[in-house]
Amino acid sequence: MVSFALNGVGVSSGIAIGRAQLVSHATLEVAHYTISPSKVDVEIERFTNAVKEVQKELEGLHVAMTGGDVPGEFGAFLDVHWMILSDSTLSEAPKRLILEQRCNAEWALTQQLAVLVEQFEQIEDPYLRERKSDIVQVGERILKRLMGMRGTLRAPIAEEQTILVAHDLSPADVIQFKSHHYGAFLTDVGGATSHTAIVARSLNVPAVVATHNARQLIRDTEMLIVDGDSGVVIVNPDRAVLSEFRLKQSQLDLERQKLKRLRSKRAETIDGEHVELYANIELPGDLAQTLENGATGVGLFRSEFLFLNRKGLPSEDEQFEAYRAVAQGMHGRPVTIRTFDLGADKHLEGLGGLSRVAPNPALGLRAVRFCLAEPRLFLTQLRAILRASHYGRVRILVPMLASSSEIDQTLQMIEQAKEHLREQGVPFDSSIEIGGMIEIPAAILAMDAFLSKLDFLSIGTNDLIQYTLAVDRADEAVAHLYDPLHPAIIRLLALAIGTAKKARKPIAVCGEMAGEVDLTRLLLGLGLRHFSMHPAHLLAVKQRVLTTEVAALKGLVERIRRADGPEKIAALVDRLNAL
Amino acid sequence: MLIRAVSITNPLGLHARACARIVNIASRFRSRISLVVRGRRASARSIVAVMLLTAAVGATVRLEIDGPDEAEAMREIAALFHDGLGERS
Repeated sequence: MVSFALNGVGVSSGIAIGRAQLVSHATLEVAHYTISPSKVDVEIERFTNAVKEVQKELEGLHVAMTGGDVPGEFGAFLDVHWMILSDSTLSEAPKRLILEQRCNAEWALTQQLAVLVEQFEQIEDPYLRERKSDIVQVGERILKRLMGMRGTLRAPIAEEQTILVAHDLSPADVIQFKSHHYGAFLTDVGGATSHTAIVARSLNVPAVVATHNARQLIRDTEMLIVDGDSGVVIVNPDRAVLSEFRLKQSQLDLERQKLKRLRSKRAETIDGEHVELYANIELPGDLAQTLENGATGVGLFRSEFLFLNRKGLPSEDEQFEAYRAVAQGMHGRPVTIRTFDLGADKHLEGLGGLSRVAPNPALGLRAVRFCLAEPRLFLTQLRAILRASHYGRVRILVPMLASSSEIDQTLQMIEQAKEHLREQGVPFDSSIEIGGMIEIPAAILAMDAFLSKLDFLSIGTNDLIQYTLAVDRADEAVAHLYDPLHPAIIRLLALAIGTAKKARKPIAVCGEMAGEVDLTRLLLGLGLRHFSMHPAHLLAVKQRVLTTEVAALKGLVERIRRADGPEKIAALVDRLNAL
Repeated sequence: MLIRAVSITNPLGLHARACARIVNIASRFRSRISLVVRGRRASARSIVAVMLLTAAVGATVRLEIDGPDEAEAMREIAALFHDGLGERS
């Protein structure tokens, strides 16, 4: 047996080791023959029956799913397939071809599929073009029925993990993954947004797609290693490779188990420094993941996400309901709601002021500048946040403040909103904490106003890096210049954290740096004790905190603060992580 | 016949599941319901036809509804579009 490797795109992480099970690709094996005029009716009936059987098959899967722990995507996918099946372009048009050309049902269906696929091929948008796979998958189900094959997959071969190898998988195929516990799957086609990828991630099963010809190169029951992170597939691995991956696999498993156990553990360094680990969320729906990963608060609720992609502005009541849901869901733990950060890259439809394209949007009317220019919109949001503060521990975070006059104006607006509510007798937390985002270098270099007027601070490193280095990360031509380890960034962070500490004001980092486990020790060494990040990173960062002794970081961090280049800093950070 | 222009506001545009929602609602009415995008017309009852319209976010869709329950149908389908085809974010 020859050992070889294939490269694809890893769309769902993890390592699986097992034996291949090939799934046939019906359209490749279709017979083509003419039928006698007297048999046309029989042939049409054969086609109609196949469609009905597939309909039943899909309905059966739908029933089997309800009540189980199958992710919600499945139901939606099945509905789509059921509708495609019932669509006259698929269920009626082939009958006409049988009648007119006197061809067999399989051939009639294959021709009609080709016509439809051709139409989809002309679509320019790659995401929408990929939707042709839904049509093909439904067509193949009918074909398999016509050819006497059961549409369902075989059960896995034995106790050994089975890795499904297919040209493409339909959502209905993938559902059986759930009941049969396949180890991984591998497809010739597909991309990060294909059904296969979405469902694999929700099932936590490794998957590699776009291998081009895995289905042809791999034979049934061959031994496979699938690495869903790197997208590498190794066929017939030798003993050394196999044991290497077995080791890697068990390390990953162990890692995952260990992390889960950390959920309710207090985040504390070896030398007893307590660290707060909060979550960044975008919608109330993110709460479940936040609590699952043991967050002790919400450090950044990006309120603008609630209202993107819609016409018109959300009403005060609508906003209130969303904020209250999060406040109550966190059961008294802090919930930091950032006021609308609209402008530059996030647009809200229906706002006259935003529809014009600013000459330099990142430096234009955005975030708090925009809110202060639209006082009615701002007051509506502030009232909604204040009302929610009655139901939990809510804090207000104001983005993109640069000067003390902006802070004053914002505080005045909040006072005004409070006054409205008092007049109406609506309850709210009158001592609600108000904080500011530190994301403009000016805010760090002149932090006194922030310290004297605000209750807490939160550093948004993404924007801070963009504004300090004058690099737009979304612009491919300069994206490589975006570097969190630039000496200027390290020094600004050190200055901000140090100044806040001296003034005894709480300061957090809520940008991507906070969730980067390789930077945890650097930030701890710079004095940071408060991190807010995507919930998926919480446990890994907590683990790093638990294994860190802050006192031991001092020497290296001092050298990092004085280092004159990103390469030197990166090398020193590696040494920090090796401690 | 009622005619009204609506726009696509959900980021993925008329993808499969969004199309399914349209077909679902359209099938409840007796009126003839068509969607027209850049001169291409599709019956709202055919998911394949609607998928082939390939309207992306920002595109304008003309709704043409003709029949006994056209007012009710227009209200529900226009509301679906306003709601970002059931996808807020």
